[in-house]
Amino acid sequence: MSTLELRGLTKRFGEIEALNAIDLTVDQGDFCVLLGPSGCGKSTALRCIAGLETITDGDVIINGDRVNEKTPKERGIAMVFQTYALYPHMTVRENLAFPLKMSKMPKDEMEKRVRDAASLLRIEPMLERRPRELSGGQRQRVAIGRAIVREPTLFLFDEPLSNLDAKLRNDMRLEIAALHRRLEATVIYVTHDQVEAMTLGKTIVVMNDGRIEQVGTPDEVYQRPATPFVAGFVGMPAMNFITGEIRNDAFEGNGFEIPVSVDHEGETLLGVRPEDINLGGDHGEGEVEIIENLGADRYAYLKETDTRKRWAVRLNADESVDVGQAVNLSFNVERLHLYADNRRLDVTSSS
Amino acid sequence: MRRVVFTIVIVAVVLFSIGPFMWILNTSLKSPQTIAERPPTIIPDLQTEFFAAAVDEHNFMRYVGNSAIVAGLTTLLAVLVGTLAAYPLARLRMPWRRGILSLVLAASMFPQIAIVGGVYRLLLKLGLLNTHPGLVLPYTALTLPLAIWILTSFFKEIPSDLEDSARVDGCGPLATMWRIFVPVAAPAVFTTAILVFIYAWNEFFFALLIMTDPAVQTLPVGIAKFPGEYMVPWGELAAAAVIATIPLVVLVLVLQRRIISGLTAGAVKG
Repeated sequence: MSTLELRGLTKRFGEIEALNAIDLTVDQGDFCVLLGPSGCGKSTALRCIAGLETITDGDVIINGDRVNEKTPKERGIAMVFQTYALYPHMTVRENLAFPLKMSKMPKDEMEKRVRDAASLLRIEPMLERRPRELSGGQRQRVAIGRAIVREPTLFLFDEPLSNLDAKLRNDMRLEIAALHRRLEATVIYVTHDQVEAMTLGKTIVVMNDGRIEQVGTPDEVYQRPATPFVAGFVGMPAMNFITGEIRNDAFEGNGFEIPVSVDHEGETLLGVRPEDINLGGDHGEGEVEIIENLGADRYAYLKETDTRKRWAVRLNADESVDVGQAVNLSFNVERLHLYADNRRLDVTSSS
Repeated sequence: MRRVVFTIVIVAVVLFSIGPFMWILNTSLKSPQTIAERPPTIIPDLQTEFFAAAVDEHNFMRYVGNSAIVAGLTTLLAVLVGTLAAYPLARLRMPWRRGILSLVLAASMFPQIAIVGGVYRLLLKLGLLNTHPGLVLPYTALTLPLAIWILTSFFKEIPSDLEDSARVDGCGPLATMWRIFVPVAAPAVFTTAILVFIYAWNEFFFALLIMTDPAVQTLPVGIAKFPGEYMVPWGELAAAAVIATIPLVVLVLVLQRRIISGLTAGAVKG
């Protein structure tokens, strides 16, 4: 059974349409990441699911119940906020116990749950401290603990890691993944960070401008992006695009021709990832402007002399170029992405 | 070297601020014999005669009582109304928010002398001259803009995630207000309360015009009436000034820890 279902979820703030008829189904035990640029509606969607925001149209269904009119508490959800939102005037123990106290749980059961959550998150030594005495990572753990104690049907995370520094973010990411495996909980996780989305998500929902662009596994989203937006948004550095035309089973653009076999003729957008471009060949040329060395990978950024078009290219281990050098490029023709009318063209076979 | 200069500057500033008060304190603790000595003695002979005289002969404690009632009620009212006004101003997405705040501020721009005529006639019609509400009402009106501004800017600093979190944890609007928002906002409320209280405690001009009956007069007016036709009772004046100051000092000392203990420390990344 699906734990969460959104049917035509629409949210308007005055004239602004933040969510436009979202349909989504999330299964029990899924880790569903809502990914998108800021302002795409992902946080609004989460707040609508939580019941913190009224919805303009459509339905939110949790465990088969339509919960549109229910309060956050009645929905059986728990939420972790970007700012942690710990209660500063309460100790860690009181913070953890607060949601249980509000639901009038018997004292011994309450204490047991607080103890369990604290030991799971390794915050037992800090139970008597106040939030201001904790480090960022510890605060984050307490915030997650406060969500766990309620044993909710649905965990909602609103960019929980964006206030942490890079190293801590990595650690917490792994912890959240491990926690999800242990609790076998259903999670909706909002982020704009594609690394978080790719590593944590079982399902990624890419959103843009109040709509869902694609729902898929991390692999599907990366290997077969459904729209040009997804293709350009997922992947670092971003995919390279060339506008051209398909005629007589060949893509023409940028002064070259690649045979493709798709069910389409006319204007087409061709996308190619930096790792699918090799040095040498005749699909493009340019002068190296910048070389970025990330340790494991090196990327060269090129600019074409006459068209001023820019390229991002991942260098193979044995390839080396210098800034200012003119190079030719070729594509890995099995791994091209073709789009027309904002949708992906299925390549039936390639030669 | 920098430490030395720093220390000297600090000492100078403190002396400059506290000097007049120390002088008054010194005077109040002298006896009638030493008070007129020239040159004045630096160390007082620690007599309490003037305190006794101020309390007994000038009905001083009545002024203290009146001031306590007026300042206390003003503080209560200003903080209560101010909080109720500031919360929506800080939280709601509404048009004209800036306009409303500016208007509130504009209300405090008129000098007292410009509005006293109107205020007097109003109170006369309402029959509130020479009553405690007669001072509490204008004081509240005069301190509300300040209270609303301070509280609004403090409230805005409190992340709304806290309230959302409380709602998710099962609090209704009232529980959110009382269990989460008020305790977190307490330093702001106390700061505002102190400022309003000090204003109402010290205010002289309105008090002089509105309270003509000695039975309801407040401290500043009471003290101002000490001088007789032929002599100025410096000792009693000094003693009265000291007594008038003590409640403020105590109030600030008691509440300062709560004010300084950072506003939302630890609630969010800090």
